[in-house]
Amino acid sequence: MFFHEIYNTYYLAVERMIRQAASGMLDEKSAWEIARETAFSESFLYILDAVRSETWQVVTKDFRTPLQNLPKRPLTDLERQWVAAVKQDSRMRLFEPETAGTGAGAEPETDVKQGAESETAKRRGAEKGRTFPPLYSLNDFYITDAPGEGDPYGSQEYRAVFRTVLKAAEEGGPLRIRYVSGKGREREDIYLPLRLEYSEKDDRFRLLAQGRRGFTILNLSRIKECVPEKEAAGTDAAQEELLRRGRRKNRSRESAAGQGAGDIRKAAAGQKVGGAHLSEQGSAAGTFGRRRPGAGLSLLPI
Amino acid sequence: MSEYSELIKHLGKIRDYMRDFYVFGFRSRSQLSGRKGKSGRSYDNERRRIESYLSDFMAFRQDKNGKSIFLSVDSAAIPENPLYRAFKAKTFTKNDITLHFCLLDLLADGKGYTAAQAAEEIDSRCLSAFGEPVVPDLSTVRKKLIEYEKLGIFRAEKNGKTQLYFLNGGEDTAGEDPGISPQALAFFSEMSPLGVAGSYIMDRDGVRNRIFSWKHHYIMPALDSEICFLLVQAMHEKRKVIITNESPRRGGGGQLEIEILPLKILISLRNGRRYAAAYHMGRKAILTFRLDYIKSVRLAEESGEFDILRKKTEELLRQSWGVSLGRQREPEHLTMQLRIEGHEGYIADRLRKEGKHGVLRQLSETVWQYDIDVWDPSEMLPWLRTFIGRVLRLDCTDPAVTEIFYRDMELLYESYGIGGGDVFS
Repeated sequence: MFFHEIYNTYYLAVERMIRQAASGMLDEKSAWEIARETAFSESFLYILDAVRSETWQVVTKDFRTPLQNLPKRPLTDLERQWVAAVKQDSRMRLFEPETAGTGAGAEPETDVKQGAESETAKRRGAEKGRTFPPLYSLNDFYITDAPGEGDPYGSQEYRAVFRTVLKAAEEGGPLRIRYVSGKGREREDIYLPLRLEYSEKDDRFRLLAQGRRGFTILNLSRIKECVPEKEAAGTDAAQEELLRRGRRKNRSRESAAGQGAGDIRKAAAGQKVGGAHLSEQGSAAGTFGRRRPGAGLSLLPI
Repeated sequence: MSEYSELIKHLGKIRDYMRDFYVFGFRSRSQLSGRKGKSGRSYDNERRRIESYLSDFMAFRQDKNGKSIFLSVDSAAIPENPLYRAFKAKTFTKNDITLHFCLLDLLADGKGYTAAQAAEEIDSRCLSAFGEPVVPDLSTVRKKLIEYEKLGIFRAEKNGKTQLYFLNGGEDTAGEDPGISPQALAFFSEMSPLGVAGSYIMDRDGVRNRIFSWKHHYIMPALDSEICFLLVQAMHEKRKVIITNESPRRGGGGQLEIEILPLKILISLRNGRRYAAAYHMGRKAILTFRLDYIKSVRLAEESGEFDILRKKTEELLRQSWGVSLGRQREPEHLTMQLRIEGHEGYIADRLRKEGKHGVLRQLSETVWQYDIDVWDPSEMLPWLRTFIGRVLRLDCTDPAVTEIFYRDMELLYESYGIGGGDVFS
C-alpha cells in the first residue's frame, strides 16, 4: 500500500520520543522539540495531548516508556521493491563502487556458517534469499522528450570524476580541477564544491562551486581531471578566502548553493548540519506576505 | 460536525487543493470552494492542513477579490520535494500506533510469537505501565500482525497448527540495510518515478539531501504518485482498471468513470506532466489520459490483450511528437524549409538534436529541409515557432496545422503594427 500510516511523521516523532524516554532523557520540552522538528507545524499539539492523556500507550504521561528494545522499523516490501527498481537505472552506476566480474553492488553471502547453522543464521539466509520484484520496470515509462545525449555514465573516467566530486561535496574539501570549456579552452584551478546539480531535461550533472574567480558552474562531463587539493585546504582561512572572493553571478543557483557553503564549514568543524533553507521568495511585491513557520494556529481572516 | 484533524484518510481531496494553491494561487476562498461545489468549511479545513504541512511555502496576497493563499516553491532551491509531506499524513487509531511500537519492541528479541502470545506479552510488558491500560483484543492484534506481514515488516512461519510471527530483518536493532547508499537514496527519491517510496526510507534512516540541487525539476507529479502506482501495478498484472476522470476540457464538467487497459506511463520533461497511454475499452482506441485528471483507480479483471496492445503503443510512440497518438490511421507528413547561413551550424545541430525521428537535408548552401511523419503535427507548433525568422516554407498534410501557423504569424505582425508582405520575410 502506497499511502499508509506506517510512514506517518507522527510515528517518526513518537519513535524518537520512545528512544529518548528509554534512555531517561525525555521531558515535556524535549518532547515538544521532537514533535516540532519531526512532524508538521500543528502536530505538537496533538502528539503532546496524546502523551499527557496516555491515549497512545507507548509513552507515559511522565515521559517514560516500558519499551526498552525498540528496533528500527524494517523496510516494507514497497520500499524494498523501490530499491530494486532504482537499481535498474543506469545512473545507479555512479553511486556504486566499481567491481569486476560480479557487477557493481554485488555482495557476497558471508553470514551463513559452515556446518551446523544456528536458527538465526538460517533465518537470515532465508530472508536474504528473498528477492523483490522491482516496483516498476523502465519499460513501464516512456519519456516523450528525452534528451538526445546526456552525461556518459558508461565511462569509467566520468564515474571516477563523479565519485571524487560527490565525496568532496559531502566532506567539504576543495578540489583541483582540470576543465575544458565548451570552446575548447583548458584551465586548471581550485574549487570548493557547494552542490551537485542535476537536470533531468538534459540528463547532465553540473558542479556548483566557489572558485578563486567567484561562483562557477562546471559541467561534469567536461572535467578531465579532478583530485582533492589537500595542500590548498590548509587552514579554514584559505577556505574562507575562497568563499569570500569573486563576483556574484547567477543569483538563484548561487543562493541555492550558498547555504551549502555554510554547511560545509560546519561539517568541517564537526558540527551537526541542519537541513537546507529556502531562498526568500515573494518579498518583492508590497502586498505579498509570508506565513512564519509554526504559525499554523493563527488563522488569518479571509 | 466532525472534529478537525490534521491527518487525512485519503489523498484525493488534499491533492486537489494542493494543486489549486500551487497552480491557481490567484483564486480566493469563495472562488475555489464555489468552483468545486464544496463548502467554505471544507476549504478552511484543507487550507489549514496544507498550511500545517507546508508552512514554509505558504504565502498570501490581498487584492480586490479578497485574500488568495498560494504555494510558492523554487524547485532549484529545495533539496527535497515538500509535496511528499502529504503522503506522511495518514490517519491512524490509538490501537494502530500502540500495537505498532509494542509489536516491534516485542519481536525484536528474534523469537516468534503467535497472535495470542503477542497479545499476552503486550499486556504484561507494555500496557501494565499505564494507569488505565486499554488492552486490544486478540482479533485486533491478529489483524495487525497479518497487516504487517502483508507490508513485509513481519514474517509468518507455520509451526504445526499455529502461525508464528517474526520481525523481518532479524533481531538486529540497528535495522535492515536498504542496500542503497544515502547519496543514491537522496538522488533517486527526487529523480525516479514513485520517488515518495525513497523519501519513506530517508525518513526511516534519518537521511537528508545535502548535496544535490535540481534544475528543470517539476514537483507537481509527486501528487499523482498513488495513481501512478496503481496504474503500474495494473500493468504488471495485465489488468484493466476503472478510472474516475475529471477533465476540465470536457463540456459540462463532472467526473466520468472509464474502463481502460493501462499500457504505458508517458512523461514529459519539458512541461512536467504525466499521462497514461491506455486502451479505452469503450472507444476501442489507444488514448492518453493526464494523470492529474484521474481522481481514482480501481483494479478490474485481467486482459489477454495487454502484450499486443503494449507493443502497438510502442510502435505508435515511435512516430509521435508528444503524447498525442492522433487518429492512428496514417501519420501526417510535415515539411519545413529553413534558411541557415554558413556560420549558423548550431541551428542545424539543434534541428538534429530536437527533431526526434525527423530527417534533415541540406538542399543548397543556405537552404535546409526538415521532414517528419507524426500522428499529431499540431503538437509541433510550439517548437516550429522557435524557428520563426528562418522558416522559408511550411507544408503539412494536415492543413489545419499550417493554417494555425500562418494565422498566428499574421496576428503577430498585426500586434506589432507591421502589416502586409510575405509572412516569412
